[in-house]
Amino acid sequence: MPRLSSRLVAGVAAAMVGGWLGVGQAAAQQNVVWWDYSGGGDGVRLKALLARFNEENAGRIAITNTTLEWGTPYSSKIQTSAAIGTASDIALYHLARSSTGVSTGVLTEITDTELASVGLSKDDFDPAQVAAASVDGKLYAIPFDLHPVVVYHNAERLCAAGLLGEDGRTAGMDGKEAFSAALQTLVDNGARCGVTTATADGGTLWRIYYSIFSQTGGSFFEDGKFLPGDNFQKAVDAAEVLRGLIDSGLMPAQTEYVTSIALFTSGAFAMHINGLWELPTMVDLQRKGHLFEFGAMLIPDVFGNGHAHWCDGTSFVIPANAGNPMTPEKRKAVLEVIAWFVRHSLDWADAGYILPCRQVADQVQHLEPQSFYGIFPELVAAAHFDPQTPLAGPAYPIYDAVGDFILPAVNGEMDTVAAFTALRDRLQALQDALK
Amino acid sequence: MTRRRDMAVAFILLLPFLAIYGVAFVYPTIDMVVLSLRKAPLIGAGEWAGLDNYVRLAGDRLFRIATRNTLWFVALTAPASTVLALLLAMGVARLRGWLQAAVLACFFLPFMLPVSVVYLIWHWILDTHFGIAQPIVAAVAGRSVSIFRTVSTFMPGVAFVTVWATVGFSVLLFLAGLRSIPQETSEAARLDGAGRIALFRHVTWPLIWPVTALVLTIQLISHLKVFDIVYLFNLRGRVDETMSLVQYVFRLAFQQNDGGYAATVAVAILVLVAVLSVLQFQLLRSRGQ
Amino acid sequence: MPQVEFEKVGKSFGALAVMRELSFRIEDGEFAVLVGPSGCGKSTLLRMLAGLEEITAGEIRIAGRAVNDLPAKDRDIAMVFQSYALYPHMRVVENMGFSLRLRRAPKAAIAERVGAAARTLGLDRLLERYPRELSGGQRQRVAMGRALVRSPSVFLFDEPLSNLDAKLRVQMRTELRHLHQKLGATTIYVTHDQVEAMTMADRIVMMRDGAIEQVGRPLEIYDRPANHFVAGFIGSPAMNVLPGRIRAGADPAVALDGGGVLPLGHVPSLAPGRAVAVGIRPEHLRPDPDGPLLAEVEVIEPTGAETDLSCRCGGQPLMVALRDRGSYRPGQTLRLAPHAGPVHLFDAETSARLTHPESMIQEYDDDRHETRNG
Repeated sequence: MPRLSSRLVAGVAAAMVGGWLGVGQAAAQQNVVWWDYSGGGDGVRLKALLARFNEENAGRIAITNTTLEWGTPYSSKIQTSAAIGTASDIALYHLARSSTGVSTGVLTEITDTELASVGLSKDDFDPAQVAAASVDGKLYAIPFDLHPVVVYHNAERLCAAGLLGEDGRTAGMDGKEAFSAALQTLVDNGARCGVTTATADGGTLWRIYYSIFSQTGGSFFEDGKFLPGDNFQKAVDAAEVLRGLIDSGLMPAQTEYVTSIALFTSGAFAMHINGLWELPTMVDLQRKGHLFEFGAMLIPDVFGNGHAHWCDGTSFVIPANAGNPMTPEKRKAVLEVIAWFVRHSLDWADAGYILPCRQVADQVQHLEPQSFYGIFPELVAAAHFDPQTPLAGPAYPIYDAVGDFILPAVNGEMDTVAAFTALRDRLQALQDALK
Repeated sequence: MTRRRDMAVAFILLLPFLAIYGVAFVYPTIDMVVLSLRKAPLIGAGEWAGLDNYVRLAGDRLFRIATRNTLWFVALTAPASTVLALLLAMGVARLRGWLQAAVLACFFLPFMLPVSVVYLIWHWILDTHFGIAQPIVAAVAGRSVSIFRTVSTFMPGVAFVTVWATVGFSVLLFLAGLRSIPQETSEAARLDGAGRIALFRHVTWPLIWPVTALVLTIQLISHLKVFDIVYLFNLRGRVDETMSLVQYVFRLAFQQNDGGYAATVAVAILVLVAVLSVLQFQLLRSRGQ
Repeated sequence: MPQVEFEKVGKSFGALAVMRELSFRIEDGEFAVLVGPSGCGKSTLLRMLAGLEEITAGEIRIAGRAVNDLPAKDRDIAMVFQSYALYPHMRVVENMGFSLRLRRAPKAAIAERVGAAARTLGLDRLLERYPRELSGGQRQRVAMGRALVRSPSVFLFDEPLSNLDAKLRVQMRTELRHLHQKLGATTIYVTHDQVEAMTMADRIVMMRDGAIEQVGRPLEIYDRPANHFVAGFIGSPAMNVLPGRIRAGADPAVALDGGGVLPLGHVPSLAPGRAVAVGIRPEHLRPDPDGPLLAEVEVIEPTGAETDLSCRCGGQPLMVALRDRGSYRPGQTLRLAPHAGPVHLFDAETSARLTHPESMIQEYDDDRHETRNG
């Protein structure tokens, strides 16, 4: 331990003296293996950042990156390779997956001292982020961005229906009845439907559903139990809200992800619920002149308990390679890489993400379009992360259960109470089996 | 002496295959059976569980659904695909030159497409809102139907897409079979007084029977193991009600980290495929005689 | 009435005409052989008659009825294929009875006719076997049996013996001929083997390049080949052809380009100096100290019955077939004369026959035959 500390002190000193003059130069170049799952537009931005890092740190640290398939294949790959000691040195990881990662022994803890060694601290991040990245009070992931669910709206249609205030913010949509009435007004003013979302896509539906559920103030998973006590009724109530929208024709049933976006961008639908990561799609369309004036807002407060919505974040983790522990030099380099990326997350945030770190978030005023960044603090404040269980996360059992139970319930193919009873029993059985 | 040398050479030539076969197939298969007797995660030894997993299998509703779905899928694809392939092959066989090559390529092209592309194509064609085939669906059903999110239409839909995507390969097999029937045999039958139907019934069909048996067997085995296309279409949907057996294994092993029970289901699939294949083979052989 | 008539029959694939204006007839009960080198169109012609190939010009008539648009199954024709084309999944009895079964003949009638045909062909004991359990000769018989059972108006054979070994081929040749004499059915037989044509045919149709070169009785074609090509094709060893010119003077003779003067027994009305090709069959040459041809022996091929000498005469190859065994040796020089048969004269350019040495050949009094110069 004393040895490690002295090395850390040396590391901090090196960082202060400055890159190429420091100890790092004396040591051999560190090759850092990096895995990510960013194959789309954000992947381009990420690769640009990687290239920049390698250029700036030439001779000291070299990152070799591999982009893998998102979802289960990615998680399985990290899990199975960590088990035999061949996982990467750094991996991009969903914040919501942290507890699974810890339970399967894939992640290593990142201490406060280590954070400090590269000039970061837990206070740089929102408490909700830190909570999502921690298990039993220990930090296992360093946030890189946040991506909550928002409502995109067609400003022209909202204006025509008198639902947009002078300040550019929506008005009169909070409350279950008010929201339905607002949607009805939009339909009366010529929209084909009030709002679209990917009702045929279990993953998206989970995010929308969990947003509404979070507004009930309920707890989906608590003390090892799924939907304990009156949380069950709250879960049913939340589903009934979505089912009501579909039943009354204000939201189309069984709509695929891409379709739900296209229905909105075609202009026929007034609003669209989706992740903030679709912001670049909208912005790009608008820049090309293919899109109407649009805005983004928080999901309306349906139950009057305040805003709440689903949120996840990209984070960095350091896989625990069984039988192949990382040298202190390598670990230091890895932490440096992470810190560098956190500080440069502005470019990454261009892909529609919220900046993870206050140090960086202060600079957002320079960004376009400003109106969206105006709601960022509220978005962060109302963020609800996936339940803290290894069953959570993209392509994991909770998502599957959504497809099997919430999807048919919301789309009117299954009784809501029966669906949630089956969902609770399924997840509880899986949870109990984990022990 | 020569005999012994022959044996030695045979052994040396076969060794790489045997080694790979042993390491990549025999050993994992044995290990899978052993794993099915344990309560174990995907990675790691776990603990001995005896026949617990098999007892669980007997009462597992999802296993029953997955089995039913898989058999339903096979029933929807294999016979339809075989009949369609034979009809197409007989059509293609009548064409000549570049036209034949072009038509054949049309049928074979979908087979060369990655399954993910096939999925995207049909997912879009049948999209509830924008799908160009939805007017046809609406004409039949009276309204737009989300084919892949409605449990009753899911398997027929996926079966249709599968037949579309794989029929080209069977057409090729049938075409090879039809070409192996000497032209003179058909001509002899025509001179013997056979019209088109009699020619097919008495000459073409009996002579193409071995190919038919092959096509059916290939499809039975490959479709019993169906995974990718079903997985893609029910992804983020009602997986419970629509999944196939192999998908269930995938879910248990990779999503629920339940290696022992996943191995148990895999053993059940192995037994099912083996039993059905042998049954079908015997059945087809007896009919062929 | 002729049983089969071809009138200006043609065949073309798109713009490519492979057969033009073929006309000939085959009488009822006749055994006709279509012979020619491979690719001459004889099989195509047969298949056109059978209804397996489209007729693109002219008309084919069977028993006076045009069959151009009649499907194969309605032409009442049976065909034996070179490959036999047996149904591999049917036993012999089923193969033979197939046509009757298709016609929904009563079972007893089928059994009776198949039985009769099997007895004729000696297939009685093989009826329950599958084709794969038979030898080549047996399969050939089954193919014939299948044709026989139907008693069709015309039998077609497409090189039926070419897949058999030499000994069996000779035997089957005789049997086929015998069968024809017994049944008296009109038969058209395609072969590339001139021996089969000569030995089996009532009438030979000699073809080349989609055209008919000559139609006639076998010996007529042997004795009076219509042209160079026919002369070379019919007869074995092939006829010798030597270039020369008609000599001016009183005695009709040809001055050979390779040296020597060949007197002709007949005065051709040909201008002196005209270029001709002289045809002499090898079996018609005899050694003669005064003979006009001087040849050097190169190779000696004794066959037992005769001795074939492969010689060279004035730079040209010359075959001589002698009945005696003699004592010849390579390098020996011989004088030869055409003693045993006629000398044929062909036009050097068109290769058409120029003379009809009537005095030296056997006469035919059959007015039905005709000779065409192709």
